[in-house]
Amino acid sequence: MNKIILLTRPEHDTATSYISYYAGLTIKQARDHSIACKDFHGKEVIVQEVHKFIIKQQPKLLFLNGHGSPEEIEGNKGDILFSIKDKQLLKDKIIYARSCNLGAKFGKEIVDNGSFIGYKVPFVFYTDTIQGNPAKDKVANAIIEPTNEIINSLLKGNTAVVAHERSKASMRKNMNRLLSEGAPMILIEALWNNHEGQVIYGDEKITF
Amino acid sequence: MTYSKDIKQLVKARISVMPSNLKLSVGNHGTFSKEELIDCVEKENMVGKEVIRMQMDFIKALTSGRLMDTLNQ
Repeated sequence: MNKIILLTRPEHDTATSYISYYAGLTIKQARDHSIACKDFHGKEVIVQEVHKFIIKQQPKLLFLNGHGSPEEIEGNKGDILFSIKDKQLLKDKIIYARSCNLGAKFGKEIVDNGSFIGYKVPFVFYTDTIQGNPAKDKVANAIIEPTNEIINSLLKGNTAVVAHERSKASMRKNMNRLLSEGAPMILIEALWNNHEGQVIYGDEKITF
Repeated sequence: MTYSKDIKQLVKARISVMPSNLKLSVGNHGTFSKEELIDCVEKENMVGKEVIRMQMDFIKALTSGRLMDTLNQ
């Protein structure tokens, strides 16, 4: 297993454009820690290419972004990137899947001598149509940015469970801030959904 | 699971006060404006059911005190 982080971040609609932007921010963090990073971005998220890279390079940390269901996660435009059948390929990995519902089944079933962090519910966020741009959208930032803490924390050498808990602490901080600012309650609801739906399976003490 | 008329009314009322510039992103189902969300709740389609579940979970956490206990951690 090699100290490499592999990112998949398709970008073909509003949801994937936003989470891809936030995933991209962790690349700089990886470089700051002199950690090798393989970024499959947009149309480059080709199933065969991603699988080939995993077999050859054996990255220890997988950061998967994209649409999901309880049993599979998508790559570019609906291609199935990983399903429960890929258990052997995903053995020994630390996986963070910023995707809907994968924590309901996929995460439990594929984790084998590694760790999985994901969501047992839809991962939701609000966007501000006035900003209309992930880099400028403070509404989306308040909801998505805390989840980057999982990867940033793992890159710093923390255990999977510490990364998971730090991310949840960051969500709570944002919920408290939004409450004190009198922000619309629906934003706090979205953060609460993600906070309560974020799960960890497997070896909680594993480090990257 | 189907929801009662009262629950749907409550959820729609809460959505109706949401600022018009906000849209909710629900995975591969898409991104939804206030009016679209109200329509989804009325029709009780997949997105509507998720929105109702999300709001009911939040209201339960708020009224039981679990939300404030969690935020005070």
